[in-house]
Amino acid sequence: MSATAFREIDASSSTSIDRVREKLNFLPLDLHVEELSDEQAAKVDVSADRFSAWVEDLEPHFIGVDISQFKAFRRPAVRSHHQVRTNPSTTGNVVEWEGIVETVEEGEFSARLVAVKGLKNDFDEFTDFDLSDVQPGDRKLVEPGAIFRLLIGTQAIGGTREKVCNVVFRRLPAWKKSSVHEAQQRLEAMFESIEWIDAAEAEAD
Amino acid sequence: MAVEIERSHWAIVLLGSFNPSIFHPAWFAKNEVISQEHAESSEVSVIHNEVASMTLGNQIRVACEANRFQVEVSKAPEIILLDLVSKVFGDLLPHSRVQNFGINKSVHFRASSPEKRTEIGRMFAPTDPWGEFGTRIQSSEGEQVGGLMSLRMREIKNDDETTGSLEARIEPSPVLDKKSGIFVAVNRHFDLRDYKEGSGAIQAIRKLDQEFAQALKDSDEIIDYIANISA
Repeated sequence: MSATAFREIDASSSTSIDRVREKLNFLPLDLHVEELSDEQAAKVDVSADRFSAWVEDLEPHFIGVDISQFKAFRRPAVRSHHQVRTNPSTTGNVVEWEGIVETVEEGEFSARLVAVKGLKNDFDEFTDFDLSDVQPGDRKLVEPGAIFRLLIGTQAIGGTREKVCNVVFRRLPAWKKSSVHEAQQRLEAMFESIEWIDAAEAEAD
Repeated sequence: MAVEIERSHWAIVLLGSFNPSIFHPAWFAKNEVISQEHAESSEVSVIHNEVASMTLGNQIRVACEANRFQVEVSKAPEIILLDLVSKVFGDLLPHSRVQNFGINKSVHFRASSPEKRTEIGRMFAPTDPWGEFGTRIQSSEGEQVGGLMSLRMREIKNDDETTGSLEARIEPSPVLDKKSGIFVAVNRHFDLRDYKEGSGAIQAIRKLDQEFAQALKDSDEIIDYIANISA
């Protein structure tokens, strides 16, 4: 399972930003909108070795840099036991996400996750799973749009603590015709309530 | 830091009219409420016209009597209870009469010390109003220390569709350390206001679906507060 959640580094975190600046100083960040001259290019160390070293050093922590805004996007690590304990939940020390399957490929699937317990993240996380992470009886439920819960942490069960890393697919009731009809009606009402304005007329006014 | 919750338990209870003899792990699997693998690892205690009791997939306990259907788990994610009840009574048995239901959560944890638990007990149940009896309890100590055995508090919660309540209970834990263990149980109960005879389970299931997350959030708020002051 590989966590690939994107999070913009807190701009107030000078340590993180300084560290990024320091590690990226071999890149011509001040020249990103212009083509490099031969002279400038000669001064910049963009060798494969240098880039590989950078990737090895930072890649576990950062998944990307928006050069135009000088912002790094961090890959949050799975919460440590200590971090989880500082976000107590009455389930024990478990962080729980609700996931929606986005794509399914042979042997794996990708999903969008939202924390529902044990974390207060308000951003979506994107994760790839091996199909083997899913209980055999639930594998046929894995299809785009399927909803599941991911639990990671330690949970007290019957007086003993167990490490938990579970992917549990939800077996939801089928959509009823009446529910689909109600949803369609709400959607139609919403569209009808939109007042469309002709751009040309608005400009003329 | 809050004390650690050592045991958790969630349950949904439906009150109405049921046929216990329907429920069997194979029936749940056939209707895709659980997987075939879970059905094979299920244990049946009893299935009879009047009562059915089983554990599905070593995880979900189901108990059904003629007027009561209950599902419970001691392991997250508790959302599977809502899914099971919604599928069974929303899809498969929508004509079962369900007029009332409850969403329950209970936990066991240890106060930071036996003295802390006594302090919590005295805070919830002061000994002063109990006269001489209370004075003797107040002065008890060590192995003889007495105090709160059970206390229930109820908040009335009514809305357009239901009357109901949020009820919390605090007791010494019967399963953890007998000197510092604390048990807290919270019940969110709903009675449908205008149940239409013959309307089956749909009203209740719809309301359950709307209220499940909030009921557990309310429960957690109470539990977290007591757990925090017990640290």
